[in-house]
Amino acid sequence: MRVTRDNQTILGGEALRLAQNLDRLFTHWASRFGAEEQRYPALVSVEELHKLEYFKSFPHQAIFPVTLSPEEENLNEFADDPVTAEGQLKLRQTAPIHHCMAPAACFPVYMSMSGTDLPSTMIVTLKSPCFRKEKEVTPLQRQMNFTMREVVCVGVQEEVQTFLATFRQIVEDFFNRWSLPVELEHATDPFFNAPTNRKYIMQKVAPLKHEMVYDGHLAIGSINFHQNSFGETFDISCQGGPIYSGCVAFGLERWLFAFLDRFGANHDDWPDLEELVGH
Amino acid sequence: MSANNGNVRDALREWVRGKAKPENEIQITDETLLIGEGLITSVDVLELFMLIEELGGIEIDATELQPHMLESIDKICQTFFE
Repeated sequence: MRVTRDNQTILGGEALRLAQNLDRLFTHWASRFGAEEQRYPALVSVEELHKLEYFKSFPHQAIFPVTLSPEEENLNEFADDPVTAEGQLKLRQTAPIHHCMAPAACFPVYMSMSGTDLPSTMIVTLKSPCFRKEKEVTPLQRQMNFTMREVVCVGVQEEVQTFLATFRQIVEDFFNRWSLPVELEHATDPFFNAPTNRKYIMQKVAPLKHEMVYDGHLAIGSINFHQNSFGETFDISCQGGPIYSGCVAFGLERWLFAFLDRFGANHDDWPDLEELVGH
Repeated sequence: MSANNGNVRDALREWVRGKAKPENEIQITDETLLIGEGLITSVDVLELFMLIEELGGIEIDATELQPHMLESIDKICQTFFE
């Protein structure tokens, strides 16, 4: 593993193999629920994110793919003098922005189901690069570009809640088996203007979000119950009512950090995840 | 303000009944779990929050909220009106 001059993480060798094996472990857990593997683009529609009040809730974290306005004069001005001495882009006129870099893996799942009526509860799993602006970056622990594996359950309320409870037991059993110091803690997301945000208030008073907190300070994953909020926002129904949904999210780089911190840099000391998933 | 204040409970009961949908096939009492039974969602919770502030003539710091404070009409009264 190496870190670039601008504090980004490069994975290779045994560290990369560990990250890949961790992801295989997560997909192995997902397969117990019959989850279908899917893949989504890294760009998310601004219009769809706005329906989730994302820009009201997390303006401080949004990262946009900015492009230049296509007029030749504008492009020539940029091409002639594109970067300052401090290494910052000297943007000229920019084109309208219709996309945001995906801030979470699961949002596009609900967006893609917009206006549909599901015959039964369904479970999917996906791994996506995610992008969030951070004030400070710490390799593996807090990155602006990180990888999230999610298992998403969408459908009937009771089945979603059973899925979340069962998955919670699976991860807790894993933490106990390998003596990983991880606690499941009631949590809230880092909302902008949190006290006035209805979603923040809801997370404060209801056990909707639980984070897997490693060593008392680092959330390496989370278990989330969204009630029927995505069903109502995107008009998704199942068996006569708006869908309920929940997801289990794993931050791959943070899991990697936790493993290296707990078991050390020598791969001979790491748990044999390949054996665990039966490969 | 007392938890027995009938006006507060009546106002909360009326608000909760107004949120119940036909699929909420339950008898609503002061002990009914408002979020647990799906009577209110995040769409409603800010409205309930503001109703409590209005009824109590109080300002609530949302960052000080604890799980289950808005669990039921009884819990709301115990937390904010006793």
